[in-house]
Amino acid sequence: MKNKILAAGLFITLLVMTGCNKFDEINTDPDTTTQVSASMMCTGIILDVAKFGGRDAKAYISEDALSKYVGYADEGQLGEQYNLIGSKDFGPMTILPNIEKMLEYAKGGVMENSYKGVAEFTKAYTFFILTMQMGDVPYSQAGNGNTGDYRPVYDQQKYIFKAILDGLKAADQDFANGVQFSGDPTPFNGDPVKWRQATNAFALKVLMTLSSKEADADLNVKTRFAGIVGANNLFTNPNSFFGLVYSSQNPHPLSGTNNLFTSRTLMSSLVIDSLKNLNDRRMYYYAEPSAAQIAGGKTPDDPSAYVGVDVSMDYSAMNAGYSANTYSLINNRYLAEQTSDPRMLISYAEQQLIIAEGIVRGWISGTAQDYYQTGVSAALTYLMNTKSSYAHGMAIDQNYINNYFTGDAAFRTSQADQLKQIWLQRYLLNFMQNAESSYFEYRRNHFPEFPINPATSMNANNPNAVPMRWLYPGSETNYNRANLIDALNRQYDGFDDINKLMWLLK
Amino acid sequence: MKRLLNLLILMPILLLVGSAAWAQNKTVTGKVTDHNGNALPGVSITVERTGAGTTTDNLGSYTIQARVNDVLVFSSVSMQSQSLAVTSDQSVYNVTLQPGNQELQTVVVTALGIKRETRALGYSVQSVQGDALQTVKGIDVGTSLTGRVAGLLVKNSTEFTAAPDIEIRGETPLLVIDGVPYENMTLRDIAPDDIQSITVLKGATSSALYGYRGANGTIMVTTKKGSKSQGLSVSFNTSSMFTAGFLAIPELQHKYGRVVNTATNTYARSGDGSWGVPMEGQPVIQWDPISKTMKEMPYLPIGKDNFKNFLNQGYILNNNINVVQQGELGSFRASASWVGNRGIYPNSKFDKVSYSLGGDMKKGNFSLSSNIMYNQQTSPNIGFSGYTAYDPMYNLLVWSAADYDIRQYKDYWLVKNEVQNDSYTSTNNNPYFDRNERIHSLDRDIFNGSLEANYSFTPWLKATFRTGFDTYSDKQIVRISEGSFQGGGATTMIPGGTQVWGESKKGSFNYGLSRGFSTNNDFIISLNKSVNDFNIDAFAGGTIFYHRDEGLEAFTQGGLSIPGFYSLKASVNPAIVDANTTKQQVNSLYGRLAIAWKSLVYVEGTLRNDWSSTLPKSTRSYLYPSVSGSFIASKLLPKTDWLSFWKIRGSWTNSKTPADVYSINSVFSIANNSWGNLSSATLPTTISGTDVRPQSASTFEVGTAASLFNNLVSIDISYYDKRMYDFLRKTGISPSSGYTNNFVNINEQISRKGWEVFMNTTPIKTNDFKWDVGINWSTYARYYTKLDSVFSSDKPWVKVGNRVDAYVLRDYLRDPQGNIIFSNGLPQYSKYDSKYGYSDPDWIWGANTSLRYKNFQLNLAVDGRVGGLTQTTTEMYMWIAGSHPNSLDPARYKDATQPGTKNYIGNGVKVISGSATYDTYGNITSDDRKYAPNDIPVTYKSYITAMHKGTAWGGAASPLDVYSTTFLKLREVSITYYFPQRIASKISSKGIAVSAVGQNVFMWAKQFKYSDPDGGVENFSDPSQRYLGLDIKVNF
Repeated sequence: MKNKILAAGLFITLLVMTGCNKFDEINTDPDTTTQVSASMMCTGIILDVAKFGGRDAKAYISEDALSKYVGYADEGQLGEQYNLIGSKDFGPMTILPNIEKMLEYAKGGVMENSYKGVAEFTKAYTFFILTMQMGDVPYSQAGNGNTGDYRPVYDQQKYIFKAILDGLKAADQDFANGVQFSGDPTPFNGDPVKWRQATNAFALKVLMTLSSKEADADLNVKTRFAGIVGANNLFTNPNSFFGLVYSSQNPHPLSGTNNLFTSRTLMSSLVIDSLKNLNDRRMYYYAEPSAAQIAGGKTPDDPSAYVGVDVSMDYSAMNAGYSANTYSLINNRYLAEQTSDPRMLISYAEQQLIIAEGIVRGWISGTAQDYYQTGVSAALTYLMNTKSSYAHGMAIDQNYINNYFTGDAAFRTSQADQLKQIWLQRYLLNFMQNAESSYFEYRRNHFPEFPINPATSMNANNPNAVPMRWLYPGSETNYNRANLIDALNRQYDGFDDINKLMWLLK
Repeated sequence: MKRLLNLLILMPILLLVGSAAWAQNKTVTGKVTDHNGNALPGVSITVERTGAGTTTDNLGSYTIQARVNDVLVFSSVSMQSQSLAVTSDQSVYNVTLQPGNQELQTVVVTALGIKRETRALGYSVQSVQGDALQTVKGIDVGTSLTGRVAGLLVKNSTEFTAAPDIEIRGETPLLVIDGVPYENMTLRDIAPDDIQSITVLKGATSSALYGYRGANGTIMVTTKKGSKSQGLSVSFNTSSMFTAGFLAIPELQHKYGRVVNTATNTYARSGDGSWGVPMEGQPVIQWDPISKTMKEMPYLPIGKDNFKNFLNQGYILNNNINVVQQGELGSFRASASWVGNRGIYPNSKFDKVSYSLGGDMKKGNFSLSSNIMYNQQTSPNIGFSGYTAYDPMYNLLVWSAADYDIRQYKDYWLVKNEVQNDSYTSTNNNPYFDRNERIHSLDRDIFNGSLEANYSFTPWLKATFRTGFDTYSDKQIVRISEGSFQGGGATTMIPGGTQVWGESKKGSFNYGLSRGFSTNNDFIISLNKSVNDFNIDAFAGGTIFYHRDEGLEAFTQGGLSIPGFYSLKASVNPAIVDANTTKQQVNSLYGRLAIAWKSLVYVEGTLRNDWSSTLPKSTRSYLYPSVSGSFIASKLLPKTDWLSFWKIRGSWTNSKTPADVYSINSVFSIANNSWGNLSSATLPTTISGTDVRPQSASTFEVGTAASLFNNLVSIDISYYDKRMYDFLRKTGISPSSGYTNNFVNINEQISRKGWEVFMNTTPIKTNDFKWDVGINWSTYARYYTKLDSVFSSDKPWVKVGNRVDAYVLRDYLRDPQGNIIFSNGLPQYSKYDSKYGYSDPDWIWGANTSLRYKNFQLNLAVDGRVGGLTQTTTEMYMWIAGSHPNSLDPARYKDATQPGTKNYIGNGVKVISGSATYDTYGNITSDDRKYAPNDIPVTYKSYITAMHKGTAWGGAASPLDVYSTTFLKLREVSITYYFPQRIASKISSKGIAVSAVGQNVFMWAKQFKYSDPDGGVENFSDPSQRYLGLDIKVNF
């Protein structure tokens, strides 16, 4: 007995001393890996920019409320509808190490150029959104946490824009030299030609955003714009877009959501009235008729059955109107269908409208009306993919499109009118699509005119205006304060406020 | 492994056989008296060789079986123990005991199962005897520990099947059962009737020998082994407690109903609370659950008692039978328990069956004890708790109105398995449907066993081998019927698993299996030798600890192909499957040296080295020491009447905790089917893999214990300071670095400082009457003692010397007088965080008393917490949804009856000119604002929904919904009648006791009214039930 116990003791001591050899194996998680492929990284990176990143359907609607597409008659006042916004997040910058890793895996492979293009494109897209939201952000030193740089300085917005444009130019060349690549979740399916088109369409969009800086010699906006249009590696198919197609596996963020969140989304009178003026049948695809109007005997194909709400109206009055069935709701397809609309971030239609504006502005020569009409036609054509049962008896057909450009929709002659027509069409195009882009456009053009009511505005510091930017994220006051203060002093008199103007808007 | 299992099962049987072979005994009798010649009842007499024993009766007489040369030990509370040897020529031994100290001479089990005299300990230890836990029996024995130990905070959630949350000095302790630190056992898995005693080792010192797992204190449970008297004894204990009212239950206002559509006179069926019209009998088109159609009916608050009408009678049944065979060479014990718990919501049942077998034996220099336990826990539906899992309160109290009678909704189908018969068409499930067709079931089996062998080479040298293992398997299913308006929400089915959510309306079936295993093996050589005035107690040993957990979970996607077919096969799209595995091994070598001098000075030191698999090679091995000492000051003082015993103690401990499993690994996360059939890979957002060290803490503790007035009063006071440093933290960094976190040892230091006092007194003690009182009080707070210049959060309240537990929120904007600033009639919030108070309680306390008069005994236990803030999710949402009973403002009536009018003017100011600017900390940098009283009317709803914030999805609450957790509770009460022996013996019983019992009997809370703050967090806490019942114990 004695010996056995001693032997057991010795055995354990021995195990303790030698048992550490297996430790590395024990501490390996069998469900993770340290080796992946460029293609799998690529999927994640593209989804980072293309997929709707908001938490839920309400977040989706909030974006549309900020751009005055909709009113929200529920729960409590929606800040975005009443011009109150908070801070944004630098979280999207975590794409940077992933991009770097993707390029490491791609190095030397046949698809390297294509992945380089994806890298440049997604980086440009990410920082375009961030700088548009907040102003100066870290760029040149961003993404170096793994080398110990935890507090990157903020770069000036102008510098970032230049870098974005140079990046897109590089992406254009990368895709030109690229081959079909794997891991692409977009409808392009890895086709470098389509990616090249999207890259250039996006570059035009970025350049148009800089219209107030067209004379800036460093940025060279006009020359760049002309160069891209001249090279003509742009979307040619009216159905082309950069984005994602929803399916039953990846349903639209609004589909099947809790009714509470989405079923009380009211159409803004800005959208309804504009569509009515244009005799635009998109109204029937965007909206439901007012139930009170229908109860009063009108038919759903009667434009006067559609009633929008002044989204700056007092919240309780809006709710009373909702309870009286006064207003049009957003079209049922958004809630009922898993694939109601694809997510279109850069489309042929938008590209054409941007080029039209470029011509009107005199950046390039050409016939603005052609671009205006092909752009709008493409937008209308796209809706023909939607189940016509949602069109309330007013489905769009080719004949309708052919006769669209009359009345208010006919391209005007004065430059000012033409710009407004183009801006309005871009606004209508992005309904329930890329509403943030419409907010950026509003800041640039102040058109279409957003309804503002100082008596209902929650923008306490400037009740007569739509806010001009989001605040910097809390992560910066916690972990990067000195650089944040520099950026605030440089741009906003040291005070982080939603009404301050960034370089772009000055 | 299987061999070991077989051995463990076989062992108790061998023991039973072995112990039956009794040797020839001699009957020893006698009487025990005190120094005044009074008979001493209740003195325990033990045969040292066997551990068998008896107690003296009311006349101080005893009878015991012993052999010649056996040593009998006489011990009693408050008397000094005495031993004598049985000689061949004497059978009657009358003994006189001298007064002594009660607990100060007692022996407690400390780390690694080492028995020590409490007087020798340099740190704080407090024990609770098992019998204090065996009369009032809730679901968990942890609840009965509330308030019984200074520094032990038990948070008792009112949620169905929720286990109490136990903290020692603000941290989660290690649970050790019979010397084995199991990984997967909880106090829930131990039947109260199997507990001999629970000892709480508070500081890290006591646990220096358990490594990091014991760094936050240890709860040591000693289970019952043999019995005091030889032979067979059987005891039966049955307890039944029933819900008898509530200490806190939410109420719903029943004046206002839903919003009624003015065009159609139809009420809203979307479930958005009760911000609608007053219910005054006017005709409104409503859902009629009987005809199952929409129908015009008078609009009345017919559902004002819906919540109470929905609730069932709850109960807790607790039955235990245990059998002990005590032989000369050992004992054998078997115990079976069944706890049946029915919750107050329909279809909530929870059953717990425990079975334990244990025994010990001794032969010559060899002794062995072994224990196995099996637990089964099952529930057809543990339900869903909290806002984001859609608690029944979400449907019943918050987002609904009192305009339907729940009792008419028991027939909950409109189309079986597809559409529910419900007053609502979204948000709110029919509550009966919800409890029966949206369910979360649980099946859990836990099996554990231990074996300890001791061999004494010489009287002073001993070897101990102890092995323990536990293994569990757990199956949880969440199934949601088609037509449900809610999915599974934030519920998970396996540890570390995915939140279910699920596409609610389409139905889903979600399946989680998990299992795990842990083993802990110790080998220790110990030495205990006296040389002159010195006693040396030392040991050296090693431990191997290993645990592995695995989980597999699967979710249907896209709904169920056939309504009512609950299986992964019913998945419309391919089901999602996920798996996880965690493993860790820690090897240790350690030793201890304790030296005592003349029972006056005690000094000890420990040293432990660990090797943990979770650290990189370079820091994998780490060493940490502790020292402690105790000095019996009363020995040097002249004997006085008032000071019987006085000790001063002190200790210093270093403890080190390795990184969590896999946390140093920098690996890709892979998402299957992240878009279509494409899988994606992403880098972690945390920087890791650098050379991290284990995190450390140094605890310094001093204390004193005294026994006064001839042991009438004993008091123990401790002060400690735990300095925590080298924190291994996923510290936040700016995401502009490309990462959101950095896993490093940060330079921040936090000290936790606290006081603990416990006192026991027996003010009255006669033969017929005895009154005992115990009081516990403790306090602690955490302070920053050093900040990291890079990684510490840069906030005004994060400063050296400040408390760590700041409760941070965004206050309303206020003018210099503190009035709330309104804009357009609505209150404005600051855009900057500020400190609102502290979240930890200022102090916690408990008191228990027992009064015994002849055959009656009354026990009371009261406890409470003072200070500390937490948000009330229940009331927050009752306000937001318009259902709070205090929301019946006259303005609300006007708003509701004259739609479009605004009738409420908030109390505060508005800015008439000027503006303010702020720096990045939120300090005002310029301000020229002028104010006037707010005079802009808004609707009452707008005002209330702006004054309160819903935080279920994140963010900090508005100051209005942050409540103090101060409360006190009458935790337990029991009145016991011990039947006289002459009655008991008529059914051949050795004792019968019947008790009227109550648990959670009364509560007073400073701010909480509609819910119970006991659980620490309040997120739709179930109503707090008062349990009353009966407990019967019979011994044979």
